Amino acid sequence: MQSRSRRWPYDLSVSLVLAGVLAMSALAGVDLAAQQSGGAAAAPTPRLPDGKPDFNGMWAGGRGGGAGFGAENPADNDNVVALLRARAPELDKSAPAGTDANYAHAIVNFERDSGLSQRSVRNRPMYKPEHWTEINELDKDGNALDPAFKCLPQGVPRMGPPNKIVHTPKEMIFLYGLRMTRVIPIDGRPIPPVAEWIGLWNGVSRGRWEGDELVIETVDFNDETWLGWPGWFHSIDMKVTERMRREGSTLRWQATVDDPMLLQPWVMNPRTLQLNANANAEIEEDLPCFEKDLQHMVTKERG
Amino acid sequence: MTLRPLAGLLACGLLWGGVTVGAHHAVQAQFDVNAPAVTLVGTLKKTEWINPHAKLHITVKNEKTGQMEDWELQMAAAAQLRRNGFPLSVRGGVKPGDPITATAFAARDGSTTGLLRSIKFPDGRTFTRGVYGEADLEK
Repeated sequence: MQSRSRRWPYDLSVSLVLAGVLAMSALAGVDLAAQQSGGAAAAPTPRLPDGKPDFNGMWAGGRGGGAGFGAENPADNDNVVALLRARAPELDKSAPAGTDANYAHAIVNFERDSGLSQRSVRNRPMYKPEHWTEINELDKDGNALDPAFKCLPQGVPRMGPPNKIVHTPKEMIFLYGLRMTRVIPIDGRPIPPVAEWIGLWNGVSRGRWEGDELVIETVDFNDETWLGWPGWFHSIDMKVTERMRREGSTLRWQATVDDPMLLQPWVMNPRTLQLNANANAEIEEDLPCFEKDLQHMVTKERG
Repeated sequence: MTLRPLAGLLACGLLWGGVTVGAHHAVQAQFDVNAPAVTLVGTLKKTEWINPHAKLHITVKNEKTGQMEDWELQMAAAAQLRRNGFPLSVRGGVKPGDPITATAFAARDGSTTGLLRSIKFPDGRTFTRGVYGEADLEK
């Protein structure tokens, strides 16, 4: 037999590994910001000939998901940690490691902790009261209704920041996993008039510079996507404003959602991405999403 | 905060398994995780590298009917399988037709589908990290 690395040709997924390591570090309580202040962020910010910060590169650690978790919000992190700490002894006591009984507890707890931790995020969109009943129902029994679970696009802003950026003077090309690309003009052209809007998964975006900060405003959405796992829907009148700033080898991304369904704009937790320092890093093929499980679900319960 | 790193690893499993490929669904809504895993002895048919979960297909003889059946076993997301060193490649690894013994939690709807628990390969190696979350939980 060949060695594992030769037998398994996809071990070169450097970007995925790096992203995983970064996510683990952040969630294990490592103060990413502190690291940046002493290292990456202190590095000079490269610029394009037009003087703008150079956004080109592969960026890791942004994570998708509308809830955003609390990696950069200590209060949210504490919620997740508290839940999982409570579960850990249960895993140890339930049965000898490696047995089916132990495993059954582990996998069920894994799913249910996933749901609990998604719900425990403190920074939530605040809906007007007339939407509370539907939000609660989706959170409890929306297992088969999550558009992302049905292989529909997560859309903006749920899919988070991009994994790779191609930056030209006139446009930003954002490459995501999940077979998604956005091409965003930054040449000053206006947003099309409302009469031309058709309702899109990622909307229509226009970018502009405010100093060194890239501001992307997006409108013309459909109402098929969610903002996050707990069933946070939105209207076609949603407006999303993303703000991105490069400092050294880090890229900060933060999005704000304005929607008439909300009592106030939802300011999502910011996320800090790291530039992939491996010049040979490659993006692998995005696998197609093919939903085959819904037909076998016997309950509506969520994780 | 001695448990913080452990919790971090667990949380990473949640993030990695769920966010990378989209939404998680509740496995307990689909599979009987409270019953002992079933053991399936058959041959490898194919793997499907699709999201949100990769699938392993094995051909198993139904001892009651004598018919050969296709069992579709749900694995982790492909990205997580790669990270865990999943030892099945198109060329140079285990190939279709090779004997495979798998354990899985059976589907609650009675179909020939399951949630993969482990795979035993012809050379005797056993891979037990084919289901999302497990690798992180074992740490």
